Amino acid sequence: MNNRTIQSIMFGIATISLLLVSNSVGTSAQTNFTNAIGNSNVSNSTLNSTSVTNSTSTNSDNPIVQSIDAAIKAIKDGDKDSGKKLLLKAEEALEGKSDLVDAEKRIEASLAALKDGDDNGAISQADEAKRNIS
Amino acid sequence: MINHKITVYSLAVILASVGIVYGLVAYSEYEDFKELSDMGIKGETSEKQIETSFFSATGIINFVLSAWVLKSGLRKMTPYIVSIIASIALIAIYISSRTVGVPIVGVEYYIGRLDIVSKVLQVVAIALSCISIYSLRNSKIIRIT
Repeated sequence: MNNRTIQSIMFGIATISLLLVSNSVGTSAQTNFTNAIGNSNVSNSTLNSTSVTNSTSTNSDNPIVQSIDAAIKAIKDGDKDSGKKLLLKAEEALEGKSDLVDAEKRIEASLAALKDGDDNGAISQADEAKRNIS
Repeated sequence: MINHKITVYSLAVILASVGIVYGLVAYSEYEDFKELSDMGIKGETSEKQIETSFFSATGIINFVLSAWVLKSGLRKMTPYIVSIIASIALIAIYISSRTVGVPIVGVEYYIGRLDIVSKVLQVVAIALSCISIYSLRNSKIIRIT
């Protein structure tokens, strides 16, 4: 193998490594693009900070909504494990409900975002799930 | 002047990288499957099994394509054409899954870091494959004339 070949391979590996460790690309794309594609309501596709700031607990009798609210609070408090458990509990409760498939998908997206380290994305997806249920 | 060897090796590396990324995604889906199984959420487990299988198969296909490209070099066009078709198909499936939905899985709302990495790599793979096909056609024309 000559030097040029080795250089091209090393360059390829370096590029891939940079992409894989880059947080900003994944975070901004997930939060902004997902909201733009997934929402028919244009106002919901604005900054995630808006949905995070405005995300407050609602007095709801719905146990699923209560679970999601508790999950959002836990994530904001930095307790991701509790947040994840509460989201899984909400997903379990939504299972089999054909009219709430969208909410279930949002909960899944929230769990995926949480796994990826995107707390804001997780909260915004959980908020969307709540709106779909309410 | 395009260095043909660099193009071929770079494409092989990119395809192998796509294979690795899909392998990581498949493993992540498998972890989710185990978690959901433990919790007794049965409705999601079949979806996760399908996703795990699909991503694993896609990863293997990309590794095979990488090896094929390396073996063929700039003698045959077929591996490059197949790489282009496979990459376009995977990008199309991904876009469908985030817009209109795909069978069994439905619509997914999440766009993760690995998703973006794999799509960028696939676009690069398509570009490099096109360059390789162009180089191959030009070298055939030069040989004929």
